[in-house]
Amino acid sequence: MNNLGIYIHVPFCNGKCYYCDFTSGLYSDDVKREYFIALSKEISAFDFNGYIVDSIYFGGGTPTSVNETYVSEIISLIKSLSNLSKCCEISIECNPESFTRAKAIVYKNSGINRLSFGLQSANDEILKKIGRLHRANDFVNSVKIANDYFDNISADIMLGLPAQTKKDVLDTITLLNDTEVKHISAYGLKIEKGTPLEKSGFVVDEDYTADLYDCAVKLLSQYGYKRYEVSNFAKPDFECKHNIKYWSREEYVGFGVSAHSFYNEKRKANTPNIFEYINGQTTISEEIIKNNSMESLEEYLFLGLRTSKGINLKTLKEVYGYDLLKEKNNEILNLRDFIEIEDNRIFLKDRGFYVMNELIVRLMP
Amino acid sequence: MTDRQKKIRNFCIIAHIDHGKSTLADRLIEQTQTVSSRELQEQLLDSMDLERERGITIKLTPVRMYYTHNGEEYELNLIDTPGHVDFTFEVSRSLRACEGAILVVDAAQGVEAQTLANVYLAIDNNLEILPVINKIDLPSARPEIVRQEVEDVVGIDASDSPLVSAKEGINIDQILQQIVEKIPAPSGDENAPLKCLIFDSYYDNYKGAVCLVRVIDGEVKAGTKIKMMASGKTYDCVEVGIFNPKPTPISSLKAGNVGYIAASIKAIAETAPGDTVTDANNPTAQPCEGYKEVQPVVYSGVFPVDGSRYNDLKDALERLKLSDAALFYEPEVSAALGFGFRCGFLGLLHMEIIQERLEREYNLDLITTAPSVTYKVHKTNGEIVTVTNPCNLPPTTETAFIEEPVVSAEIFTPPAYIGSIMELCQDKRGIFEDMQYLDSNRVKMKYQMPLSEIVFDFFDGLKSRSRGYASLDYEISGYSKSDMVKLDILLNGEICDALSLIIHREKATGRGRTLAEKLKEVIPRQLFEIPIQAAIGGKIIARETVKAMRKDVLAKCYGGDVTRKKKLLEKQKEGKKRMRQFGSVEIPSEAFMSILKLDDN
Repeated sequence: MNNLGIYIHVPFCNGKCYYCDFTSGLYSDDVKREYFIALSKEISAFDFNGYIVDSIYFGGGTPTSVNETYVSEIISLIKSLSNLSKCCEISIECNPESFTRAKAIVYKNSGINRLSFGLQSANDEILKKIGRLHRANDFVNSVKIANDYFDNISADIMLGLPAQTKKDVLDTITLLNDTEVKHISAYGLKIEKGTPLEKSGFVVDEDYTADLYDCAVKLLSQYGYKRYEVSNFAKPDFECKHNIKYWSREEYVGFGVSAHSFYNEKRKANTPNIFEYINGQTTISEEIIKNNSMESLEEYLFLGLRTSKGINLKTLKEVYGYDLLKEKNNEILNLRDFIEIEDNRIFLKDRGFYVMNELIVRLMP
Repeated sequence: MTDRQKKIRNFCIIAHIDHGKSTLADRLIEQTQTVSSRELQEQLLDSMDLERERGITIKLTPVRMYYTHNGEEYELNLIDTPGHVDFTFEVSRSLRACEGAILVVDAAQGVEAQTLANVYLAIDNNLEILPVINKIDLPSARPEIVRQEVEDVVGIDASDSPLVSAKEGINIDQILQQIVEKIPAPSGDENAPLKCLIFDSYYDNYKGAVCLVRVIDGEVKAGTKIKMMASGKTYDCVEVGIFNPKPTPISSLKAGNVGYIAASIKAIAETAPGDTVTDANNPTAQPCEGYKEVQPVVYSGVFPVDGSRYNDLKDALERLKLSDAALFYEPEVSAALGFGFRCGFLGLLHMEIIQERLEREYNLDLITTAPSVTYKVHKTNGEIVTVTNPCNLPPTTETAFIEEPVVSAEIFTPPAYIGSIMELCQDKRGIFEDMQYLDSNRVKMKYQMPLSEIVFDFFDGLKSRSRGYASLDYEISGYSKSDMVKLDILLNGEICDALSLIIHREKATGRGRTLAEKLKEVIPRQLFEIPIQAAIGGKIIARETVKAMRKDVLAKCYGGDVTRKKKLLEKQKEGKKRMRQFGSVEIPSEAFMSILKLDDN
């Protein structure tokens, strides 16, 4: 039996943030209903034989923007079709403005055991600038409710936002620590084409974002949030099991519009068009990645190096046939300020995390 | 002269770039029905893509046409000439194969510098000049004024010159009539020993090197044992033919004819233009005059962007050399650029053309280093060494003095730009010699100027200061003692050989500063801080720093979508292939190119 993670995409929002280019948006209740019918069909068509489902992740969009029964029905459906692990992690992304006690109760009863709030910043001026619908106080209230039912709560924050200062970032992290959030993801803002933020002419100051990252990492560590991936920090034992699958090349299946899957040596992407999806045209691309191929090796390398524990040199050599120490002897020596080799593992030093693309490219075969 | 010879006319067309030479040639071919108009590809004679695109002619292609005048059929041989100063030698060769020249002058623009240079060449070769005023269809055409200009400036009678539009096909027949009536038939004795002038050659995959010839005396046919008089080598003639306009075999070429000789010759270098072909068994007493070996004037390092394609570059150069005897190359190794070649060219245009042909026809990505001229270094021990590569400049302690090549430059410009052009020439270390008003609209300025200054960004400066109106003609006039120094660029403390320059001392500091600034712009930030320094003789004169990169990360793999990250890394990896590793510094290949053009101000 193999473990399997499930990703469910909920492409609905109550408003579109100014930086967002994901598949999400405002749709009528009819579209939402049809979407969940199509979603149920896609899930039902999947062959869960031979798998133990050990993580489910509702992402978006804003999963809290749809009626909570849609969510609970999907979970019931999955339970009826598959073997669910006893310690299955079931996460849902929540936005403070649409999170309610009623939702919390339904989520709890359906088996959800982890909430991930999109806070982004605790500074209301910044929240306005990026088109978020909530204010810092909404988040505080939501977490209060959530704490009554859940102990595994995460929050997303962003770095490099318009007019964001180091103090904003530090205040936000302190608020999260004070509200007993167990897991924090800190993502650098990326300006995507066609978004209102791009059109406004705003440009991310990359150097300043790196400064913000450095001081965030420092404070997070002081509060006991340990970095286990470049953008993810957790109190002990609160790492996100689902996300870890992505970086360690474990199998997951994605359902819904623009969802991605990786199982049976295959990477698959669903259509980003919600109406195509509703009409049953689900998959738009499929690519075979053989387990011992060059591509799988590259994936292993660039995904694994995102994590704090890095990659196992022995696995790299024995499974993927890549003797990194031998092949990149000089490079490793040149990069000693950025990477570390210990106990047969190679991993990034603090200095290396935020310039990892350059490092990975240099270490790739 | 035989009756056969009386019905032959050999001529060429002289024109400034853009004055419509190729279009006119096409019209003549069309009018004489050498090619049906359906077959007529725009500008037939410019057969290389590159030529057609740039509207310039590089290779010479002769065409035989038939034209009936007063009931008699005449054989007209058009020998095309390249229109650029780099190819003056090729022009003079093709002129010597003709008895007449059509001088095409744009009815709107009048007489231009290059036109003049080539007209004088034609007059020197005793050619009959037939002026033709072209582009009379243009609204800005002023044919009568231009006719007068031709008489005043060129000093030839233009009163009955045809007023034509090659583009519209107007009055083309008048030109054909004048060719027959005014251009002398070729003299020469068809019974004398064989004597042919090679005015060009090209490489054919099946026939080998093919000579384009004008037969002066005698007769040549398949089976003739021919001899190249300069090299002394002999060959068996396999085929002779003409171009109509495709190569077409005929039984023989006789005195006065223009055509080709194929003799299974392996390399183009053996068919040196200007050389004389004669009968090995019955040689002519005197070869044709004016043969000289071509000498490269400008040198530059040429390297493949992707170092693994060195052999492809080598093959490409070998093959180009087969068809371009003027191209010179030898292997070069650079610490920064790896394996490549030092190439010599006739001039800047020739350099550009070769580089473009390598990139286009052989699909190569190239890095070229700053063009250098040939310096004569007089060493303290009395030895004189020729230096074409800054890296080979002997140390100053062993150098008595350095001489650099100087050209006499003629600049033709409307009077309005005299001031700013003088400024430019002064800035380029030019020594003013003479200025002459050709008419109220044109001035000829003469300067002695170091070739190295012309090679570096002079054309662009001239064009921008004269809004494109000024033109330049130059000729190497000799060498002169000059205070030249080697300017080095240090990256991370190490001299990057591919960026070194030989430059006049007065300009070295300024150029060093601009170079360092420019490099700072084009070298991307890397994991480590990179100091960029400019140095003259070990003394640092400028410093810039490329700061270390801070952020190069894709924060999130959205919902397990690794494709974005994959694509990004793929792109980054591809980008690395275009980088040159120099010590711990990565230099993008564009960086080497971007410093070729700099504004010193």
